[in-house]
Amino acid sequence: MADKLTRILYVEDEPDIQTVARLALETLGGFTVEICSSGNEALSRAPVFQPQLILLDVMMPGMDGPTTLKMLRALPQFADTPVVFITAKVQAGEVADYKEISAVDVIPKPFDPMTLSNQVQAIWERCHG
Amino acid sequence: MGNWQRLFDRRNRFAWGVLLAYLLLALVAWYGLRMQTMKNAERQFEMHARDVTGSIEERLRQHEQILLGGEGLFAASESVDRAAWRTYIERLHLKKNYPGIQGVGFVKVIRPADLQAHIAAIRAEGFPDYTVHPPGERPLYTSVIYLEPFSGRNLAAFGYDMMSEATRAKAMRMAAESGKTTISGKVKLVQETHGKEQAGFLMYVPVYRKHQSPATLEEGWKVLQGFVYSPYRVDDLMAGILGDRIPMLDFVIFDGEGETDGARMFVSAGDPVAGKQIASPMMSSVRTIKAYGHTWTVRLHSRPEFEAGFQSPLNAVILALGGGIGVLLFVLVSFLISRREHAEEMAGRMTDDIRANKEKLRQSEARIHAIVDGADHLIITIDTEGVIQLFNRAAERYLGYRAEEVMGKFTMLLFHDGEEILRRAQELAAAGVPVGPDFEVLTARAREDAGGDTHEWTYIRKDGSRFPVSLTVTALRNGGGKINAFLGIATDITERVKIERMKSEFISTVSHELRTPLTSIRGALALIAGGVAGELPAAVKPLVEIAHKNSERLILLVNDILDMEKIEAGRMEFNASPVKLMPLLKHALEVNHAYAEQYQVSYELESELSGAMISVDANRMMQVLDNLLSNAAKYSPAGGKVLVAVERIDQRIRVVVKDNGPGISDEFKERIFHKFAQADSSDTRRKGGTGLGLFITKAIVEQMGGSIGFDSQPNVQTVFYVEFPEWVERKPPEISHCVDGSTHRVLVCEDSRDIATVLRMMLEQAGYVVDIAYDVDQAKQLLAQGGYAAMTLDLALPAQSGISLIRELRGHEETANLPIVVVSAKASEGRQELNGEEFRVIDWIDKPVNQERLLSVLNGIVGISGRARPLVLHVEDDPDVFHVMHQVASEVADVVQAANLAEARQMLAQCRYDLVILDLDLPDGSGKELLPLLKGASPPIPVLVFSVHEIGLEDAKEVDAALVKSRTDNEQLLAAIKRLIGVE
Repeated sequence: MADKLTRILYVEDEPDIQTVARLALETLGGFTVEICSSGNEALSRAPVFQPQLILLDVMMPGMDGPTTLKMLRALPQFADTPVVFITAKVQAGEVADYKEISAVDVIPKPFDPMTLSNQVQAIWERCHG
Repeated sequence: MGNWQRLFDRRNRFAWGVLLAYLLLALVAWYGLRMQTMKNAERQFEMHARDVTGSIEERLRQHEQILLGGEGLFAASESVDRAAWRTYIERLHLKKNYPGIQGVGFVKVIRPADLQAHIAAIRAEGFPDYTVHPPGERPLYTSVIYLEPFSGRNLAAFGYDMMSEATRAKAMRMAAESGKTTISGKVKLVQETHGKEQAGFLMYVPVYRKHQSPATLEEGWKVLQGFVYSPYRVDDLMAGILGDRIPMLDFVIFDGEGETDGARMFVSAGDPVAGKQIASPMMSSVRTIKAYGHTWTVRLHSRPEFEAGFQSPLNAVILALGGGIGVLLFVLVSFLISRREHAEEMAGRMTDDIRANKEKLRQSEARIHAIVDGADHLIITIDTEGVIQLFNRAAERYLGYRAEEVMGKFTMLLFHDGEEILRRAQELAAAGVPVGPDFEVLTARAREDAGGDTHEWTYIRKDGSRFPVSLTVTALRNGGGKINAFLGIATDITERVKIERMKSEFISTVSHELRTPLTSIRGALALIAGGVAGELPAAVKPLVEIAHKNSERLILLVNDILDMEKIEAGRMEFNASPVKLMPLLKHALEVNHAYAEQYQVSYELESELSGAMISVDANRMMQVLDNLLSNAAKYSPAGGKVLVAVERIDQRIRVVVKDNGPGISDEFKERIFHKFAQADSSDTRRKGGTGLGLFITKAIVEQMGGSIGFDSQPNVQTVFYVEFPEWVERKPPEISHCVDGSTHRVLVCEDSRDIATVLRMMLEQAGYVVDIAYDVDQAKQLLAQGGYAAMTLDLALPAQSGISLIRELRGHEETANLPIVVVSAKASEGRQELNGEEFRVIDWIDKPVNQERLLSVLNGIVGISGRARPLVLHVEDDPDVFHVMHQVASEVADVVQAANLAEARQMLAQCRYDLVILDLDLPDGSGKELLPLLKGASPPIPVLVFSVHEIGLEDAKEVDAALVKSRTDNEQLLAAIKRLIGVE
């Protein structure tokens, strides 16, 4: 499964951050990025887009990140897909909680768009190294 | 003063009684003695008196004898001439034999007719002046014709007619008429011619003509020849009688029967001058001497010499002594009485005090009771065995148990969450306080810390509901400082936890809310500045960079402020665990590399300590290293080098970061760790940063048990260092490593998850592999898979009882011999139920479980069944190498690891290994150091050296095999192991 990472789904409700992230991941990282603004949207688009890795915000209106993750895990094709939270909620206990529900890593906000791609790539490699 | 008053106090009457009685006794004794003395004195006095009068009478009789002798002379001779008389008298030696006698003479009776012839005759004898005097006509004349010694005073009496004087005449007549000796009354002797005049008297013995004894008075006179006589000077006579004797008495002799002055004849020397008697003699008596027709009255007085004998000081002594002893006794008795009273008083006071103290104590107890019961905190005390001794009302109210339900019966674990206890036990073990998962978890820290140990727990009510508490446990010590109980005060922190959660959520939200726009701003600016959106016009580029840089600063500021808030609220979370320092440090260097490059600074790792471990929160430690490294780079001159070193100082690990920047001025040194501290405010703008970095770093370091410090020589070198206690694995005590349970699988059949977890932990600590069955069905399933060395069994299981499971298991061939250890609160009842049935139950252990007992039983079982596989000790510090070794060797043996020499020695001391595999490069020395120990064992333990280095020829002789890591494949390794442990 040492596939090259190309397809990333990013779930984030904040349009500005969507823009920055898309630039960072597509322009700098060369990934194909699908952006969803809510958990529900992610659940409906993911099976279509078939991401190799999913980036999830935690605090979102409606369905929050952890719930979205649990729902995704319920879909057989996403049972093992690496999910990384990108969030400002990074207190020690919170990070542990994310990992408890099978997140592979946490990227704290504010992230550095210049290095975001490298971070994601590193996580991918760790998962499939 | 009170002392004197006390003497006269009514209570002292006994003492007075004693004094009085004693004085009376002394008086009686004194009186008796005195009476006795007086009687003696009287007797003595009488004796002396008799002696005096007797002596006088005796002397008179002697003198009479002389006179009678003279009379005899006349009777015997025709005529007695002067010479014959002289001879007679001289023969008597008067002076010597009869002191006091004035002389002895003869008085011739002369009828007037014969007077002239007589005178003539005498004159003829050669006394021409002789005459009878006094002159005068008298009917009858007498004359002293002889008087010897014829000299001195006596010459005056020659020729004296004594009949001329009435007193003498009376005595003479009486003598002449009676024919008996007479003495005269008091007279003045004619001899008193000179000197002191003495009283005198005379003694007469009549001398009749030869052979003629007068029959009648008239006839007497007719035949009377004369008188032999003696004149006496009384003083001289008495002096002769009394001699030199020390006079005991004084006496006065009176002539006749009266005691008139005129009649006084003699006074013994009371007062030699006045002749006066002693003024008040002790004794006095009167005696009479009736002799020779005359009476003398003698009055006698005791003299001081006599009295002295009877005025013995004894009387006074007795009186004084008696009185003295009485007084002493009085004082003594008074003292004793006073002492007794004092003692009684004191006893009374003490009794009062005790009563008062008891009352105080009772009040104090009542107060404490009221406080304890009135408190809204759960107050619980436990003894050193963990058993609850006190359980206050709040505890009853909060937990739903009644005090009598739990006191003396349960430990505090009754309402603790078993999982929490286990977790805490692990935490404590990681922090170097090895403790089993029992009540000691609650008290371990309190034992060491006088201030008590505060920790948060979840309490479970009797109805199963839960609530959070903050529990402070304090050790209670007896007078000797020995712990005899623990006091636990728990506070319901439901509210606090709720508020904390809200606060935490608030901070989290704020943080999120701030970071979200920052993410966009910083992201957008970074992309623009990075040229992602195309080349910027020259005038715009610096402006964008300013915005970008400041957005970065804003992020740091938000992060630091959030950290500071957490530190100040004491809510910064730390997940301390033992971590290897070097990988962490290297990672920090890597991460900061890019940052340092901005300042054209590089890092250089000067020295390292591979294998050094510290117990910290890895993320927070990263933050600390990050801060030190970025600070050093930031303040280094361009092109400078930041040196990093790791040192071991005693048992502490120190990370040192050195730069040669401008350094820290003296005034700044004091506030360098303060909030918002920077050397000057321009620094913030010039160098970036929030001024919170070192404040946060110091707080983090200290909270993780470390310390931070620095040393700065401006523009030469500035050194910052942090140090932490080195983490060294401490093994829980009394757990044998000999029984390596890696092949011993134990099934724990227990429905309570908490207890099952506790049992699992106990067994895993000892190296057993543990499976848990929560009910009988699970147990049967697991047992069916086989491979269990033993099973622990609870009797009270949900669907089927433990006892029936035992019966069932014994019925199956595979499980008929499975060792079973019953671990149950009803162990003893179960034992009775199974009584008589020959089922193999190894032991019955009551709950709460005694870890030592359980392990010793299980270790025993393993011992009984025999160690099936050889045991190999691998002395190796690299966990990866051990991992490989374990995988390779476990095909034929059980492999256990010792990470250093010390550990290896300890393990070797505890049991015997079939093979020791040695790495040569160990953190605390070379593996070769173990060789003497291994080869000295009996029998010697086979040694396989497995190291990166070739072993020297010399050493090769000592070992059984040597393999070099890089040149050995797994097959070779396994073959060598097999050969050494004798397995094919």
